[in-house]
Amino acid sequence: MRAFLSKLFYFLKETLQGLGRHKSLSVATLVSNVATFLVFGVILLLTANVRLVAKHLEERKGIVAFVEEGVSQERLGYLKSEIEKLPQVETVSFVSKEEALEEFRKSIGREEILDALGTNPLPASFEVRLKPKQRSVEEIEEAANFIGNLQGIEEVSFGGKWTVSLDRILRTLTILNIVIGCIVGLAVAFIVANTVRLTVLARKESIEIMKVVGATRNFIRIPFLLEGILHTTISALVALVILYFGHKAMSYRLPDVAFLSPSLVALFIVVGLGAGIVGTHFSINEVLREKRN
Amino acid sequence: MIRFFHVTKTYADNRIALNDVSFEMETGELLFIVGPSGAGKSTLLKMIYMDEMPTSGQVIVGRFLSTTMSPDKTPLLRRQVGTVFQDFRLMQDRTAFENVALSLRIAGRFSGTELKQRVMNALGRVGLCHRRNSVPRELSGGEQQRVAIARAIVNNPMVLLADEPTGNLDSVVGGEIIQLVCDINAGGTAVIVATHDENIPKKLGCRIARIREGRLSELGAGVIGGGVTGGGTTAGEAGSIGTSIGKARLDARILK
Repeated sequence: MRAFLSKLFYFLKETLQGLGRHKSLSVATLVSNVATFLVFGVILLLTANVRLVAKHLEERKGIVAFVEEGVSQERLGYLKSEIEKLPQVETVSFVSKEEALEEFRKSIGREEILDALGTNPLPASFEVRLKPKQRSVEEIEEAANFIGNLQGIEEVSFGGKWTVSLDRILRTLTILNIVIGCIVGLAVAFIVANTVRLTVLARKESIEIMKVVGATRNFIRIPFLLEGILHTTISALVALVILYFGHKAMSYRLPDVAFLSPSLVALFIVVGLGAGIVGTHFSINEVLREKRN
Repeated sequence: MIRFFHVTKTYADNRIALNDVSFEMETGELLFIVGPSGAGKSTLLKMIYMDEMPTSGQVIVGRFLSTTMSPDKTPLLRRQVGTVFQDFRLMQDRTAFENVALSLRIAGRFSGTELKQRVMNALGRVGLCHRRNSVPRELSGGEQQRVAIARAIVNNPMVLLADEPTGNLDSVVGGEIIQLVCDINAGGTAVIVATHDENIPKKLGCRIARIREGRLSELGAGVIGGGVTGGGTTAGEAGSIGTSIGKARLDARILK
């Protein structure tokens, strides 16, 4: 047990001393990794915000059903309940002629134009909000046709071609996001793994000595693996901190740009750790490969 | 303890490093292998700690057989074989103490206090306790080689292999290193020294094996030349140098 603890203590000490013994190499590795992680962080930040914008646009998808003049209160109640029965519908809100006029007043800000008309030309309407997963063009069209055929509804508006275009743009953005995210993620993993590899190869001579005096593969591998993990974790955290303060500094100019969600922060660190482990594993194996000729 | 049975080693470029080499060495023996550069001395030593494997034939070191050796067993063998090289091969970023302690940490059997005692004992045997906190660049060539020897013997190996241990040293310091190696042998550890300098074993009066173009062609006086002069077994007591070499038991045999 004491020998085991002694070995464990040795591994931890070796890991920390490994960073200290090769200061310039450690600093070069950290700088290279931090720069790489920053690029990855910026791509993730863009991804997060594109998704956010897409979500906002999605939420704005809906149906407006204009009501004919002179429809009774009972009929209005019936129309609302009929629309609410549709599976795609989340909420239905009624906007009276007066409310519509008030909103219009606020939006144009020039009341004299409306005063000149004398009467209120704006129709009452139902604003239909759709469920998040049921906002495809086909589903909106189906709901709009049903609502448009109800007696008492004069006209239905649901964006038409705009919805089709938005759908296409959102789909393209999502695919682009995944493709770019994967390419950058792989590039980051490769660069970080390669940087860690260089730190291992720089100590090839020490590894050869350890092999000659009877070190097992794991005895050589564990401190390097821990060091690789430590390197990449520190780099990822430093990059994250820089990204956070960079985002904070930019938020005065771009207040709507959001920071990474907790799940993206976790992804960021997992990619870092994964790259560190993979890089160390392969480079150590490269050096440890026994001659069997 | 160490046996070579018709061992041949051919490298990928078809160069024959060892050609039908057979010999046997028992516990506590001292053997000098002499020959020019490229004759196959280092390859022969590498076969003992199984850094190289025979193309044909078999090497037996203790309970380890080259024919059944697997990569996971190699470290166990190397913990029982101490190795010293011409270029010292010390870890440049560690102190003399840490370099010697490495062998014990790898063996993993010792706790802190015991490890410290053993390292200090090994450094004491090579006369370097006072330099334990120095890193290799602060040590002279002779001191570095002493640290390498301390590292090789700290685990009480069954055999100490020294590959041109005096190659980077002047004659005075080289003589001291050879004396130290002989002292270790006098303590009961088998030692094989590979050198291109035939004068070293001649001065000591030790038995030698000569290697040329991969053939182990001759063992010193009184020993039948392997592969050339036929089989037989001879053992002999070494001459003495100083106080310690007189105690060194030398016995090497060629198997034919």
